[in-house]
Amino acid sequence: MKIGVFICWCGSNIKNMVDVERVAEATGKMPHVVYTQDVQYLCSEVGQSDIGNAIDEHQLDRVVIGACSPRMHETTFQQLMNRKGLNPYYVEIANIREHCSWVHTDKAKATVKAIDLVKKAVAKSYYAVPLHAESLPVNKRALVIGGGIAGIQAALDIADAGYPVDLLEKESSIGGKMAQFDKTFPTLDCSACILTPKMVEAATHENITLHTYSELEDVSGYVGNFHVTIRKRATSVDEERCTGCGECVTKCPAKVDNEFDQGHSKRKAIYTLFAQAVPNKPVLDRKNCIYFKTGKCGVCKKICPTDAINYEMEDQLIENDYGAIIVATGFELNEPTHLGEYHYGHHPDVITSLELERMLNASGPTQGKMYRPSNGKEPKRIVFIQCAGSRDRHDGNSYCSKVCCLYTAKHTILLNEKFPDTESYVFYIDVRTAGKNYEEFYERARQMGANYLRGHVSKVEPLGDSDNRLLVRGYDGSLGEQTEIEADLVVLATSIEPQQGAKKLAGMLGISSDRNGFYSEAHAKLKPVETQTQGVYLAGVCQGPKDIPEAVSQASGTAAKAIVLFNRGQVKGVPTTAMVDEELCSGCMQCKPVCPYEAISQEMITERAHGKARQRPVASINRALCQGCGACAGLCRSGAMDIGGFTGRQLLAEVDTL
Amino acid sequence: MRIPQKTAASHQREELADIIRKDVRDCYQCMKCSSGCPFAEEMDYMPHQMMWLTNLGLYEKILNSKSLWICASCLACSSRCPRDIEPAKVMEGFRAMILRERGRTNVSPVIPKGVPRQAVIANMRKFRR
Repeated sequence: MKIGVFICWCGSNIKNMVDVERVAEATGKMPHVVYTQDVQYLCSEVGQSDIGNAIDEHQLDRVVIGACSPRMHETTFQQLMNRKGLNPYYVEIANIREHCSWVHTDKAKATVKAIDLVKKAVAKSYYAVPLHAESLPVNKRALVIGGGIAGIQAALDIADAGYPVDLLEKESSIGGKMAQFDKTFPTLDCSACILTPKMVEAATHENITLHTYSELEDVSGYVGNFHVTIRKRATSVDEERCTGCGECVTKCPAKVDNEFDQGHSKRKAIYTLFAQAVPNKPVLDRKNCIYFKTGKCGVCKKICPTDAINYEMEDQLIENDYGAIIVATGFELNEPTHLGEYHYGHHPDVITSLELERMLNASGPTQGKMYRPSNGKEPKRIVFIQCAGSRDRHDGNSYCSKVCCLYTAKHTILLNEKFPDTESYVFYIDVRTAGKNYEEFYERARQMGANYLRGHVSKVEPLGDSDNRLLVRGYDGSLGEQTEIEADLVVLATSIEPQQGAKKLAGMLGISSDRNGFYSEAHAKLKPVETQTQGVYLAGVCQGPKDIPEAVSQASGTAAKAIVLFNRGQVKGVPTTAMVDEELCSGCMQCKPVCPYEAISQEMITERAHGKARQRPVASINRALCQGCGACAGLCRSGAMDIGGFTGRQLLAEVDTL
Repeated sequence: MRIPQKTAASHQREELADIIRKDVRDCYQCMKCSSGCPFAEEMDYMPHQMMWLTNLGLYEKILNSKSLWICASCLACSSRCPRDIEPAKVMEGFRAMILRERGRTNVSPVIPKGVPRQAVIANMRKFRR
C-alpha cells in the first residue's frame, strides 16, 4: 500500500489559518505514506497534474487530500483517479477548509486540528475497498406532476426532444394559477394571451398525454424505472363522446361559488374551469350535483346531444413506468383570516390580491370592472397592504413571498390606467425588485401615482359610515407619523404557501421539504432543480416562491436534466450503498422498516451446514434504490450491514487515530 | 394624521410642475437630501418629507411650513439627489406659489434665533432686502 498525501492551500483560504507545510510533514510520518506535497490550488489543472505525476512516479495506489469539503471537489479527484486507472474510491478527502480554516481564528490550534483531520483520512484509507457503480437502464418516458406554466413548459421541452411525456393535473384543465391572472409584470403582457397557446400546444403535441382531473396515487421504483399509479377521478362526462358544446352547463340548475373567480361569481355543478380550458370539456362536481345529492334531476343527461353524461363513471387507475419525474405542483395562497387586525372575512371590502386580479381580468367575474363587494360601487381609494402573512414570524410565514411587490406595482399601474381617478396607497416594509426591468416597473408604478408609505398597517376597521368604508391605521415612515386613510377597498398581498398535499407527495416521491414546506433542491447553488432522489426534479413555486420567468427557466432546466438522462439511456448507480455480509446476517429484518427508500427486502439463500443444504433468510439490498443513508448499518445488531466507503472498520480506524 | 379626502387640486399640481419643471413622482425617498441638509434640525418638515408631502398632495402642510423659509437654497440637496429632482427647486416652486398669491410684501422672512449667517444671506438673496 502506497499512500500520497496532498494538502491544498486553497489560495489563502486554508493557508492563512493552517500551517500546510506542517500538516504535510506530520502526516508524512504515518505508515504507508510515501509521498506528501502542499499545493496552491489542488483542484486546478496544475494541482491535478501534480497528483497525477506523483501517482506515476511513486506508484501510489491511494490518495489522501486535505482540502475543501468533498461536496465541492470529490468528483474532480475521483475522475482523476479514474484517468490514472485507480478505483475512484481510493481517494479520501479531509475537509480542512469548511471544518477548519474557515471556522477558526487561532492558527496554531487550527493546524493541530488540520493534522488530526488528515491523519484520520489516512487511517480511513488503509481500509478502503474498491467500489463499482452498477449501470441501470432508463425508461425514456417522463411524468410531469402539475399542469401550471412550469409543468407545461417542462412537458413541452421534453416532448420537443422526442420523448413521450405524461402531464398530470388535478384540476379539470391545465393552466394553473397563471390562467387566473390578468396581466403579467413587468411587460403587462396579457396572461391568457401568452399562456393559452402553450396550453393548446401541450394538449395537441404528439408526445404529450394529458391526464387532467387526476392525482398521483402511488410511486415506487428508482431513477430510470419509476412505477407510478395515477388516479383519474370520475368526471361523469365521457371524454370521447363529449363535443364540449356546453349545453349541459347552461341548463344545470345547481349553482355554487366559483373557486376560479375566488367566489366572486357562480358556476354550475357541471362546469368547465374557465372559457379557454384545455381540455375544453366539462366535469361534474358530484359534491354539488343535485342528482348525486337527491337522486332527482338528471337534466344534463337528458339535454346532452351526444349522450356523454355517465353518472356511473368510476375513478380509473392508470399504471405506467417512467424514467424521470418532474414535480411542478405549484402553490396555494394563504387565506388571511387568521390576521384579525385586517378584518379579512369580516368586511367584504377587504380582499386578497388574487381577488383583485380576477376583478381586473377582462374575462373575470366583472369583465374587468372594479367594484366594492359591499355595495357594488366603484372604489375610489384603494389601500394595498404588503407582506400580509409573509415575513411574519408571529402569525404567518417567516419567508418572503417574492412576487407581491411586483404584482402590487402592477395592480396600481393597471388601476391608474383603467380608472384614472382612483388613488392607490401601498403600505410596505421593503420593496424588493430584483429582476430584469423590475426596478423600472416599480418606478413606473410610483410615477403613475401610487403612493408608497413605508410602514406596516396595524389595523383595518370599519368606519361605520353610510358608505361602509374602512379606516386603515398605518404609519408613514417618511413623515414619521401615524397615518390614517379612509379606504373604499383594502387589498391584502397574501402569502404564497406550498400545496396542502405537498407533504404527502414528498413522502410518495422520497423527496424532502424545507421547514416552510417547499421541496428542497439537492444543492442551493449548483443543483437547483435536482432533488436528493435521483431522477426527481423540481420546477416552479413548489420549490420556493418565484415569478413566471423563473418558473419557466427552472422548468426548462428540469427538462434538460430529464433529456440528458434519456439520451444517456442508462444511469450509474451510487456505489456507496449498503452491503450485507450474508454470513453475519441473521435475517431478523429489523433493517427493513428503518429504510426510508424501501431498498431492503428479504431473500432466501442456500447454505451448507453439517453436510446438509438448508435455506435461510437474509436481508438483500436493491442497490438502485439505496441512497447510502446508513440507517440500516447503524441499527444492525449483528454488524452484517455496512455502507460502502464508510464501513465500520474504516470509521473505527478514524476514531482510533484521534 | 388622517389623509384628507381632498388632496391638492390638479390646477395646483400643474402650477407647481410648471414652475419647477421636475417630476417629484420620481422621488423614492432615499432621504439623501435630508441627510445632507445643513438646516434639517431647524426645519419642521425635512426636505425628504417636503418631497413626500408633495407626492401625497398635502400642499397645505407645505405652504404653511417653516421649512420653506428656513431653506437657504444652498443647493446641497439638489446637487446630490440621485433622482435629479432637485429638492431646492421644489422648495423654490412652493415659495414662488406663495409669492404669486400673496405678493412679496405679505411674506415675512423667518429668521429663528441661532440660524447661521448663510441663511440670512440666502434670505437676502431671495427677498433682495
